[in-house]
Amino acid sequence: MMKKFINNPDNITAELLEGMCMAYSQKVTLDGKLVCRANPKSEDKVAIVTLGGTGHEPALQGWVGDGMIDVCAAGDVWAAPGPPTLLSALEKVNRDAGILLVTLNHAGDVMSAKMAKQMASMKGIKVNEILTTEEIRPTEEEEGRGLGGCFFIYKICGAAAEQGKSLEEITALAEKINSQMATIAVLSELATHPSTGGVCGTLGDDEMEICAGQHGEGGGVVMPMATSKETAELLAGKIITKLGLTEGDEIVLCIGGSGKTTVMEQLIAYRDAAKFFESKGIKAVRGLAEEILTVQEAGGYQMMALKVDDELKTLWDAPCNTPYYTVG
Amino acid sequence: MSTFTKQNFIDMLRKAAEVIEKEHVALSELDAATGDGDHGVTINRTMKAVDEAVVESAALPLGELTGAVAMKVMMCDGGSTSPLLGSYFMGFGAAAAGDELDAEQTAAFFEAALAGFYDISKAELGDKTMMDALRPATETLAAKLRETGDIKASFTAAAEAAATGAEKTKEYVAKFGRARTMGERAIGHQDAGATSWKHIWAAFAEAL
Repeated sequence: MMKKFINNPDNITAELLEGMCMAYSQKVTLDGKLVCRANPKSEDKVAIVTLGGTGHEPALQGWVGDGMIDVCAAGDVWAAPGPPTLLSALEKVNRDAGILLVTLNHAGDVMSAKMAKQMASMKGIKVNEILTTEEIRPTEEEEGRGLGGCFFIYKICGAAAEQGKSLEEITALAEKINSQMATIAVLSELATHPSTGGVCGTLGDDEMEICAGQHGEGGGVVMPMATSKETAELLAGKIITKLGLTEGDEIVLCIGGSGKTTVMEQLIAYRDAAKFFESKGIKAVRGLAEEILTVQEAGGYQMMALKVDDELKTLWDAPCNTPYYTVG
Repeated sequence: MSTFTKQNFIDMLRKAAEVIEKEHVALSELDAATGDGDHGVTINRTMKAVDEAVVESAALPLGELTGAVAMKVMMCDGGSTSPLLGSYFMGFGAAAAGDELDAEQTAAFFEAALAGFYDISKAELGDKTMMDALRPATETLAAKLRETGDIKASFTAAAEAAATGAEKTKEYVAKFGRARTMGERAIGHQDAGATSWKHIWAAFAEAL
């Protein structure tokens, strides 16, 4: 039986958004299904808009605020918002400087973004879209989904927007980040859907799944449960291959727990991964080990890496002030 | 019967909402095998919105009624179902020739909705999606209407085509959505979205 502190399953999204905007009222404010910056940035700067399902907190609404996302359009639990909700987000920050729309590669998000962009274009709203596809799949032919790596784009493009960079510059930056980042997920325990109480997917007690994506939809590689070091080295090795990292490269490395995996485990995984990269001459110059994109009580984590240069490092270090990520 | 009326359309959609309400738990269970187990929740919420929209907008001309349904459906924020069913209902609007349609106009009306759906979905037959039930149902409907002019019989044949199409999804590997990454492991599981359309077309036939 599902043991969650919720009320009516139909109201989960509305209530969690309300809670976030009450708890962090200095930073974010709620307008229907839109989580918006409490202190909007000036209109001469590019706005960052994104969309996605809920139930992944702190992603994505938790990073609305100064220096990151301007407006996040929320759908429902694990479900994208419809086109009108996203359109209302674009209308809200419509400006001559333009909008960067960050879409994670999942069917519903992609379709809603396509329709909302068509509608926005008819209204003369200037939008460039970046589709994140950084997930590592078991075979190279498969297109990756957008996992927690969107965080790199929000942080770095958000900082560039604060500095007054143009939409063209920020779009190019987003494309650069998308091509230089990779995320790989490992799943050790399944999530339950908070609206239905149903368990998502199948996994044996002594098994784990890599390339598992976000929702227990399967499709990864199932293998016997392994130690932190074995797992972290396996995942890090795949990131090195995917990004073609070589000796002397620098990365931002993040271990984002999926919900059930503790901070203790995330820290051990970070240590193991960073040491493995180091052994290959690749330095993790910045890092995070904390919940980034969760999936209820799923066990496991997403390992995310972004290859950085001085420009990306400087923007990564720039100040931001959001409910779940603050710098400076 | 040889005339399809706006009231027929409203009755069909209301019946479909009623059937989905009965089936939604089973649809979520079906979805849990290849998706994230919430298709039933989403399609039920969406069809409730359809039901509310046709009641609220019953007095509007057919073309405006379908537009009102499209908007309400898209406001559900139900993942891919919102843009897909939104564009399906917007598609109807393009071919709503009046509040009473003859057989040819009825065929064109449902074909336009399918075209709207395809424009956003891009799924082909065999991709293990809603399209596997929706397209054969629509094509059968249009062919039967043009052949016989009998609206009731044509919808009955269309419902059978939808059921066959949904059943066939068991044989397919998924090309879209969350089941996409499962590869061969998706074989043997019937697609929840196609199954919803089987129920919807069965309700369409029953309501006439």
